[in-house]
Amino acid sequence: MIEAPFLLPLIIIVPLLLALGVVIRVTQRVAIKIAPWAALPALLAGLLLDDGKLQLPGMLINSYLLFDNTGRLFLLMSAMLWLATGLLHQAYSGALYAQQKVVFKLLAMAGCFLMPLAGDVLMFMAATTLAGYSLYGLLAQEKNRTTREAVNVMLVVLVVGDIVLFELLQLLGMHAVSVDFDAMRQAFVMTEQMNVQFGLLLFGLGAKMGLLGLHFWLIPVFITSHLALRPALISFIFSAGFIAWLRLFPLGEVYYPAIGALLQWGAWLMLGYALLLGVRQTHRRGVLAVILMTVTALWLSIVAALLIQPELWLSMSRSLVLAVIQMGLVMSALLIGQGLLKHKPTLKHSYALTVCLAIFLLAVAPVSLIRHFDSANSLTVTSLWIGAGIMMFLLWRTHFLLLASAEDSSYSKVLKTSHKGRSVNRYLFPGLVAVALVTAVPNLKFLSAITAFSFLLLFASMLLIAWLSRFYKPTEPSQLTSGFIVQQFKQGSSAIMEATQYLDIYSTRLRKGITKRFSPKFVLSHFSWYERSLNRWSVALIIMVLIGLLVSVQGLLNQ
Amino acid sequence: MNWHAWIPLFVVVSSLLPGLIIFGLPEERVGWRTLLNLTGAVIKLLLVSWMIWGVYQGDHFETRLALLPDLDLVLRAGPLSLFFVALSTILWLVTTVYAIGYLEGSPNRSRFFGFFSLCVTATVGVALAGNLITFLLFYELLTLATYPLIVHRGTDTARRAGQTYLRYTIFGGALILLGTVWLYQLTGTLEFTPRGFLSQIDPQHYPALKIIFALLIAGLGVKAALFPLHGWLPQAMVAPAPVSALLHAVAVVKAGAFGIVRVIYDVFGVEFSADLGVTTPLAWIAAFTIIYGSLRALFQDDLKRRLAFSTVSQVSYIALGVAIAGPIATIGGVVHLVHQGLMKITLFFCAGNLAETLGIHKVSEMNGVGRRMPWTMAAFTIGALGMIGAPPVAGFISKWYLGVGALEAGQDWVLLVLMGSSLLNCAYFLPILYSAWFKPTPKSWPEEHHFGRQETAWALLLPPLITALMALAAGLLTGLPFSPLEWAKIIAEREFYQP
Repeated sequence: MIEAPFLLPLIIIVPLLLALGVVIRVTQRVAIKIAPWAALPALLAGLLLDDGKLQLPGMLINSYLLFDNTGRLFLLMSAMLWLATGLLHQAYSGALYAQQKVVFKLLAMAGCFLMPLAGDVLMFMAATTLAGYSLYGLLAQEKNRTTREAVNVMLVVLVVGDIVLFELLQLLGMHAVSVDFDAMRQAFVMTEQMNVQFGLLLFGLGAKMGLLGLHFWLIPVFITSHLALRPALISFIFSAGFIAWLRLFPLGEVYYPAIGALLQWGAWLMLGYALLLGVRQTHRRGVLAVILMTVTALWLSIVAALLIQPELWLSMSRSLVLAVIQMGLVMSALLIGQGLLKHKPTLKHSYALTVCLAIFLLAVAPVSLIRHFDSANSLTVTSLWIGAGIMMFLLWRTHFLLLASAEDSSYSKVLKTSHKGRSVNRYLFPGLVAVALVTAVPNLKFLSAITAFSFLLLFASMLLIAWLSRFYKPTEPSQLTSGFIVQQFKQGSSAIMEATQYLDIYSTRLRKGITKRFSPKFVLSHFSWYERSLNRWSVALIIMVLIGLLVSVQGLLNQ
Repeated sequence: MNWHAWIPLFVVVSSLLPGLIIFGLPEERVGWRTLLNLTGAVIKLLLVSWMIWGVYQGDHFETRLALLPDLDLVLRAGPLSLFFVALSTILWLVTTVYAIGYLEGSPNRSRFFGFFSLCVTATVGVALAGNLITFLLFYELLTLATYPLIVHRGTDTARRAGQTYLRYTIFGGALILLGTVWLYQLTGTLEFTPRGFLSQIDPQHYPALKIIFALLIAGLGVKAALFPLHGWLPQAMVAPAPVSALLHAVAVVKAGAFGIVRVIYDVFGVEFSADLGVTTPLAWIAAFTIIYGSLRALFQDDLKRRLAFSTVSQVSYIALGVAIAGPIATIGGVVHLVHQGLMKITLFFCAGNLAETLGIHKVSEMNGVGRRMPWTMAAFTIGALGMIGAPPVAGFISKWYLGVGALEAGQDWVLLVLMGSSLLNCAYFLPILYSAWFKPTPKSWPEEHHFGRQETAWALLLPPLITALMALAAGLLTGLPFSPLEWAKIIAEREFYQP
């Protein structure tokens, strides 16, 4: 390992400089050619640089870069996913390559790399904003309306989440001696308003992680985003969501069983909802969005356990980070692997084996954490088993449905991929799964025989149930951005499903109603008189007098 | 000769003299006019840099000239005044370059640049004023110098906007005059003093002081566009883009906000104002204006009008920060004086570029303009994100300190205002960015002018790029010495911690 923290800024500067190079006409051609490899410095830094800290004099409020074990793992994951994005992006260049797109991609990449390196909350917020807005820019480049509608919803959720998070940081900032993460965690521990602050944290980060109620952007964005951009999407969600939890919330230092219990039931509810949502998905990528919701539910369940039994954190912190990264890598692999499913003949043995391995690695990640919990955390342990089961069931079911109805338009319709794109993908898909396997080894080593046996039993059961359930086919989606569930429900669906469908319909109506009421046309038609009258100085004078009177009355009442 | 006693005066004269000469120049003397403008701006910048360095070292700069018996015309350089002077000087230089490009070939340029220089002279005078009477003189001069700029185009709309502006500002000036005379009658002094000069006054005068405070704040609130005195600002949008930039970022609105800061800090004193109970109503009005301005901005299709209502909202952050009456909120409020200036001038420059190059005046006409004018829209994007409070642009730092400061002062409700304002800012800025960058480009623009391979003239393009980079740097490099934040900290320290 090389001890050279002064090299850390290069990880961010390289993509930023390349973005500048793409904008300047003289350097454009060269910069675009190098752009796919812009993640290499990050990958090399993750592999070669020693842990360290680099003060950035004058930047923000005494900001610094921190390179520790957690940051390294997330940086490595991001670097690999962005490298995959770059290579895929270049491979699909025929239809998609555009200067603006490359700039947004490089900016989003810089933001995603900065998140695991940020040593303080302001730097982290800057990184999240850069990554979030640039990723939005990247996704919004797609020409079709559905994609744009989907990413617009994503933007709204991200913005609201960021604002909530900003308010939380201000609340913590009042008690913290500085803005670095250590001080903020201390402020969290000392706070007297844990309920409020935990709520803000849950909302702020949940918006990015697909928390139940804030998840409605996930499915449309997953479905409509281009194959080349899917690893980037996962990199952003995992960096902005999970790293923030690990850095900001004092896991293992807070004992708050009341919130823990509430969160635990919330996680259970989310798991149930994810199962219903997953079964009703008509699109394979939509299923992966639901898998992400499941991952979030499992995360909440673990956080709940840590709030009830904080001492667990010491033994499980490293395993947890590895498991999260393992799931991120597998999800990205599955997302890009779907690009290979253009026709039935592509479902060859090698592909099927890789998919099997990927599903195994995804499901085994939460199960491998079970060894850290005891009987006091039976709810968490159960949720980890159930979560693993749901993930396996949904993914298997998707593949069985695909096999059963390759002619069905909703399942056989995939993006037109270039030959070059497919060939790159053919290596990237197993490559990412292989890296996930390496990540899984440290956790799998400690898997007890009984857990391993139980897992294999679950694996086989889910395979069987998924195979049996292939006869229930979801119908075509009515509209992608409509809300919680994206298709009409059939007669005979269960009452719970109907309820969620109604929720979907009413939330859509509510959204449309609000949009209409706040449309400039509507408001201007009603308030033009008001605008005219307020621009008169005499009206201003009258209002001034009224304010004066109000203040005087208030003063008199105080006396 | 003691230079320190004359430099504040030289700073004022450095724009006054070129302005007076420019009035006499024939229209066709473009070179001379440009030379005079830029020379004045550069000299002013050098003098201000000298003063900043001097004040940082503990030097004292003061010009005192007898005006009336017992009343002097005082120009004094302190941390607060230099903060505003530095802003107006730097932005004047940039705006001058922009105005030269913007008005190329248009009539009455000597008149325009003459008043332009007078306007900056008045602003610098307002900033350096060492007592309330000097402040009032330059404040009124600012009104008179700005009026010809607003009506510069000579159209009926421009004249109407000018009349509205005069009505509002003369009314405001009269209120300040009334308050100043009353205050002088009560105290016998008008000298700006750190932490104010009223804390020792007999408590029987407290009701009178409350009314004086209301008069002064109402008078200043006209230029600071506090609700309900903001009506002139959106109408003044008929003025050319450099004037809009000047109104919103450098001179008029800022003079009002700066005046509020002066009255609270150096006339009443923060602690005394809080004890008197006058800061809370001001905080309410500022908070209301923040939300109200944002709501109004949301429904404007005219780009400059939307930006004008955004100014109404954003300038009130300054008043809010000061009215919260705590050291951290003070930093947030004061630093926003500079941050808002940098961001808003960028936005107005960009709006001017769009109007001059493509004839775009409305938000609904901006579809795909990012592809046609990428650099202009990149600068606009930075300005807009800064206004929203997105890190690391300057607005983020202001909002951070305002929020933390409000919590520290026990005014938790301010957090909701900031949150609402940020959301509304997103609601009226992000659709613009979306239209510009992601919507398809139309077949033709309302009124397109070509500038060779460039998207627009260099003189129009460079100023917004420079100010956008400054807005970014002001947010990103806050820890550097002489950064706006560091300077605001010095001001807050002087107001709250120094004995």
